[in-house]
Amino acid sequence: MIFKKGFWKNSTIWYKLFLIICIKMIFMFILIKPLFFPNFMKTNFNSRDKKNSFMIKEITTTEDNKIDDK
Amino acid sequence: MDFLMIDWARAQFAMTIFIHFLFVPITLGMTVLVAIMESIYHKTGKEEWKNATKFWQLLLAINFAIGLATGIIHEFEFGTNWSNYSWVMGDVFGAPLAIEGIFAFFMEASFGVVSIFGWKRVSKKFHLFSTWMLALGTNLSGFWIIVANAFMQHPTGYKLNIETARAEMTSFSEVALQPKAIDTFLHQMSSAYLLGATFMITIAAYYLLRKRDVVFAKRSMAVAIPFALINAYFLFLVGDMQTATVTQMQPTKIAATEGLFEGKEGAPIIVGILNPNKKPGDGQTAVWGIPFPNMLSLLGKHSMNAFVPGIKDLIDGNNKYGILPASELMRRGKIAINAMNDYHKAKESKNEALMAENKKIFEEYSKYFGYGHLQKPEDVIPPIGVTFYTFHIMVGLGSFFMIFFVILYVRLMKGKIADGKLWLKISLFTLLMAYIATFAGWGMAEVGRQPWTVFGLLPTIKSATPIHVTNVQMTFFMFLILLGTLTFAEVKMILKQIKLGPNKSEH
Ligand code: HEM
Ligand code: HEM
Repeated sequence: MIFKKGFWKNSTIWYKLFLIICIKMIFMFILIKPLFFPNFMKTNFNSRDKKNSFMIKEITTTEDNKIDDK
Repeated sequence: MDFLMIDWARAQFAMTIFIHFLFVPITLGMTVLVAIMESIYHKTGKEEWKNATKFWQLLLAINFAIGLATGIIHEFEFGTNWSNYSWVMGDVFGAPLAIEGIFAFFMEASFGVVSIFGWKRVSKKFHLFSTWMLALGTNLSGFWIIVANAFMQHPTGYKLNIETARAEMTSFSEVALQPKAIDTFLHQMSSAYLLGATFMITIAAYYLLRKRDVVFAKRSMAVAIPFALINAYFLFLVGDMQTATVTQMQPTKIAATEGLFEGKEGAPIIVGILNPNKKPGDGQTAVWGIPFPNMLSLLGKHSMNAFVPGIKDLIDGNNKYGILPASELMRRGKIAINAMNDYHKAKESKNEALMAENKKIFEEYSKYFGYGHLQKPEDVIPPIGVTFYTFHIMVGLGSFFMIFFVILYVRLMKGKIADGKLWLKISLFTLLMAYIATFAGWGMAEVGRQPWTVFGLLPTIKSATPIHVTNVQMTFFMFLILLGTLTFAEVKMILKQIKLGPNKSEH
């Protein structure tokens, strides 16, 4: 239906806006989110404990991890 | 971690939020302006006001529909590119955003539909009520995101948990009602109202210059000009309040913003150009321009002679005023980090005494936690050039608005708004100027927050996900094309409706 000649031109602005919203939502949630934006923590760790110990390591690793005694 | 990854993640966030923010202030401002217009229609019962309301509502709807889904991208980005940040902030960020999602979203969705499609279907009174509720709902959405942003600028009402490395909320009211959040909310909203008003003024000026749809344009000016004027002055007032909160809560930001390299009692504000070769303590002039003596001390600390620390004091410390050198903050931060690390090692070996000992050390030093990740003392200072110029551009444009809208208001009152080509021609550029001021304001607030994502707690370099750069690079360009197309579509659709005008468009 969308591809019929003159369809876009002849539909009202409200219908166009409605279509734009629907297409965008489908695009965002069905394509972009699952394909390009996996949740890093959810995909890599399957339990809260594993997430936790990964993060502790991540957050306590510094350039040198030593106290500067000067 | 790949250093490039963080650059791309930052570029992507900056680009997508830039585009989100092309739409947001128009929505925030126009929902209120449309509600004011409809109230006038309600009072006067005149069709011309109804017509005007419906035309602006159409432009608002286009903006809303095209802008929709530009915000959700950021939540995707948090989970993929900013997992450390999301972990640490999760407890605090989650609550405000969840409230926004449930409360404001339902208000917007339900009342929005009534307001747009209900003109003939519901009573006049209920319609007006819905239009106002839409404005309120949209503005409340803004509130919660600002609360989360204020926490990042000035974390409060939380405790860093040694078990989980998360900032856990200890007081909801302290997070939601801290002065930083209130100031930022008021300033943000009024800047959006001003921008919404300039959207109307620019379009109305176009009609008046073309001598078409004159009645509509005059009615629109009559609503938009007083609204712009009030907000221009309100922005200045709240802006001054913010100067105080920033000076007290983020001294590194204000030092960069004002190009204050060496701290002073009775610090001035200097309007001018930054000396690009200036280094802290080298005796060179920092800013060439017109000084307003004692102004920064007065605005920032409410006392003419108060000391405002400069970049040098914040890096090297200043004994007299009790400012610790950045190297000492870093040392304390490392103690906190090591205590957290040792606590977990002790936990693995089930050594309870050692756990308790490290917990005690951690509690004493946890407020310096983020500093332990900085690499050198100079890192505490944000990029000076960007912070300085964005702030001065915003205030410069703000001052212009404070004068220009008085002139327009006087012309409006004298019934001369439709003539005077020069004023109308300048009016054509007010929307662009309001956008520049808005982006400059955000630029200053966010660039000036560096090196932190959460001030003092989590540096930007520690906030990103340890993943490879290609994914972020690819999605950067994907969004650039996608969002670029959407923005282009919006501009095209709005321009088409403007050309058709309030009498021929499809509202
Ligand atoms: C990290 C930052 C942000 C995130 C995660 C975010 C998220 C969202 C989401 C999910 C939506 C729903 C519709 C959509 O996807 O577009 C939205 C819309 C909205 N956002 Fe944001 N947002 C952010 C920044 C901001 C800021 C700083 C403001 C300013 C006050 C703001 C104000 C709004 C408003 C008023 C709407 C509804 C109106 C519209 O879409 O035009 N947002 N945002
Ligand atoms: C006229 C005098 C003005 C003053 C004194 C002023 C002052 C300030 C200050 C101190 C901040 C810092 C906030 C921070 O870093 O946390 C700020 C931020 C900001 N300003 Fe202004 N401002 C003025 C005018 C304007 C105008 C005309 C606009 C736009 C139309 C604007 C838009 C913003 C925005 C969007 C922000 C970022 C959000 C926030 O932190 O509130 N400002 N302003």
